[in-house]
Amino acid sequence: MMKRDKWRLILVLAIVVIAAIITFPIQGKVHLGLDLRGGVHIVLQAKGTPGNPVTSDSIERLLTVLRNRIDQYGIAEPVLQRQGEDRIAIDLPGVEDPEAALDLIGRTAVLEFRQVLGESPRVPAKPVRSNYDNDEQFKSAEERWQLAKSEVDAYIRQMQDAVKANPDIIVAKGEEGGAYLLGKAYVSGKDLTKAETTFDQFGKAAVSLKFSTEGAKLFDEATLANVGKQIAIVLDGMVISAPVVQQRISGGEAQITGKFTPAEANRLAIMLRAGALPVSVEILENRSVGPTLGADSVRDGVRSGLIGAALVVVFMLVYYGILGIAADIALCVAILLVIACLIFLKSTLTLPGIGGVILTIGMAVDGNILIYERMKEEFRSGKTLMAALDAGFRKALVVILDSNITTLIAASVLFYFGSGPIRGFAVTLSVGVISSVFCNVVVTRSILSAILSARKGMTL
Amino acid sequence: MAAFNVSELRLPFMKYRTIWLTVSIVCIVISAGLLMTKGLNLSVDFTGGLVLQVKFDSRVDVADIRKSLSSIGQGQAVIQAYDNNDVLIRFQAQDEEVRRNVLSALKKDFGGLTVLKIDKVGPVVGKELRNQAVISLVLALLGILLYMAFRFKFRFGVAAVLSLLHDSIIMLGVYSLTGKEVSVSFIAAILTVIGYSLNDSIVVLDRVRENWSSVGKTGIVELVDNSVNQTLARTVNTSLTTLLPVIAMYIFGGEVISNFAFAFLIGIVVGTYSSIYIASSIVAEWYLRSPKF
Repeated sequence: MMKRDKWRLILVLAIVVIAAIITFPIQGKVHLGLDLRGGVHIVLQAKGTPGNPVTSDSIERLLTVLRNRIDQYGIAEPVLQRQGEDRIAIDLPGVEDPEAALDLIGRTAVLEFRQVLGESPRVPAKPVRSNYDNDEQFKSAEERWQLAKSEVDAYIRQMQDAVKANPDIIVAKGEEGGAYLLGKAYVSGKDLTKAETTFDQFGKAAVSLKFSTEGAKLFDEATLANVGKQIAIVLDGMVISAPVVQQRISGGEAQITGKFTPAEANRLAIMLRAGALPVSVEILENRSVGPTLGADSVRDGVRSGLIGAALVVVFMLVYYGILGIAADIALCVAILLVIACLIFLKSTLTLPGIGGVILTIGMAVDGNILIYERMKEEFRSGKTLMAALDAGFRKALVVILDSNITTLIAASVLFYFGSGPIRGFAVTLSVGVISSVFCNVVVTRSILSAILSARKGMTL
Repeated sequence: MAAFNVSELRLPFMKYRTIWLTVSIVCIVISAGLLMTKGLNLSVDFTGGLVLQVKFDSRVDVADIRKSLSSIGQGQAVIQAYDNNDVLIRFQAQDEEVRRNVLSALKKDFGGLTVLKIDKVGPVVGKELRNQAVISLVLALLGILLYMAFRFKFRFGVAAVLSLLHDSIIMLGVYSLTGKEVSVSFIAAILTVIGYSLNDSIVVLDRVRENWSSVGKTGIVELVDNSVNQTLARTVNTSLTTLLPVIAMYIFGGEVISNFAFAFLIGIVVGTYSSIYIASSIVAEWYLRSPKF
């Protein structure tokens, strides 16, 4: 073995050892994307109004409120990022119930206690077929219901007309299709100091509130003025409940009851604690993957990758014999290097990224095929084994570089213009291309020169 | 070591170049026609919309799901069942209320269900992604053309980029024909295939460049033929080794990865063919028409 070859072999061994140290034990080291581990990715668009425009400051406050809500909800490693002028991207890994998370983030949660000026009749429950003996009875029940509903609708329209004349009053929808005509707001969510989930005397989930000194004073006045009358509890413009005030409440404490499940009451409490969003938001993009689907994808991806790699290994062995062994070892090193680089760069492995790694496996041996075919040609033209080896590597190198640099150009375009999973794909593809070129050119060569110097009489 | 050596077959590729160029032009025209008339089945990534993937605890019927959705006025949704309990539902509308209504209706009518995946993309984002996709394709092609023009003769670069356009248009045509969904990851797939196919073309063109000094003696047709034959073993073997994992991905990779693999599958086949026939035929034809250029 020549001295240069020896140094090359030592370099390769050193790199392999470092890569192995970085990689093993592999559990938990590769950072999986949300599409693989399950979770929620949301992009929010802040929506300003003329009276409340979106400013850099309101976005910062929006971030703070959202971060508070998410932290209190108990999500580990949430990522909140500003995107451009008026967007926020949120990644919530491992969320079991994306519905609930969305509800927590999307709601503005403006709480108000308002004077009740009037109430529309409620729409009765829609008839259910199983409660009637025959179709005719059911049909007439449905007609009666339609009639009742249109009466209520007409009543609500009247209220809405009244509102147009007077800007101080509003119409808010309540439960069961009814609506309320509401007067001035007495107390709002910003006067709260505490919001907690409790259970009322019937064991139903409720949210108990504590007001600040100022809020307690306002609430006291409101209850005093409305004994025997209703006060509406309004959340985001919807009346949650409108209890009749039995007596003056001066302690600064109140309770909201409504049709909550304990989980819903808990979310409401969190939103009230964390404060209302400074501007309203719209969910622009929402990609949620359940944890089971993510785990399935990882398993399928890894399995198909291993099967693919095994097929390539066998093909190279059958077609190229001893040369194939060197290429196979280099392929294993390339896969090891890709994983080590992904861990080292802390890049996120996504589903398309797994596709990228698998594709790299196929393309990784391309360099070796180029070199080997060149070597065979040189050998046939009468060169010695070592000379063929040398010429094969030298001549193939140019084309290997040319062809892989173009792949890198495509990958970097993907990186700059892609988003989310596509970026992950671009990184894995680039890492794959670079490590396979290294393995083709350096690793295979050092293995081959070791083998060939041991077996002098070999032919190709 | 291998007893069989493809390179010694000396296949007369260039003899049939007009036939294959015609075939390719016909394919491109058909693909372009399909794209203009039938169009692509763009996913919610590009159009905006809502996709729900739901797993029911018990077996459900698509017809029952449709009935349940019709009752809340979402009967026009595209419902796709795979497996007994797994269902994919697509909606054009994307407001939060639709999602909430749909899920509560399904819960009411079918009992237990798990939401496996929600994909909701607003129309603004959809449009942005569409622009991004077009920009990245154009930029990638430009970057490659620049590199090729720098490393090779200009006409080689043009030949390579033309064969890339050929591959991309035919891939899009196949997607239009099969009605397979075009999502953001398809753009990644198409760019990767461009890289792969270029790989192939470069190997052939590099050999043509290497043999170029003998163009006066042998003539361009024989020179290109020789070059293609000299690199044929490599072309075939690389296509095989790349196809093997891609086929494994297609069969075993699960729904999303196999969608990805399908694009690669077509791309590799078309890319291998085009590097042999299109890129090299263009170089040959061009030289025959204006050798001095």
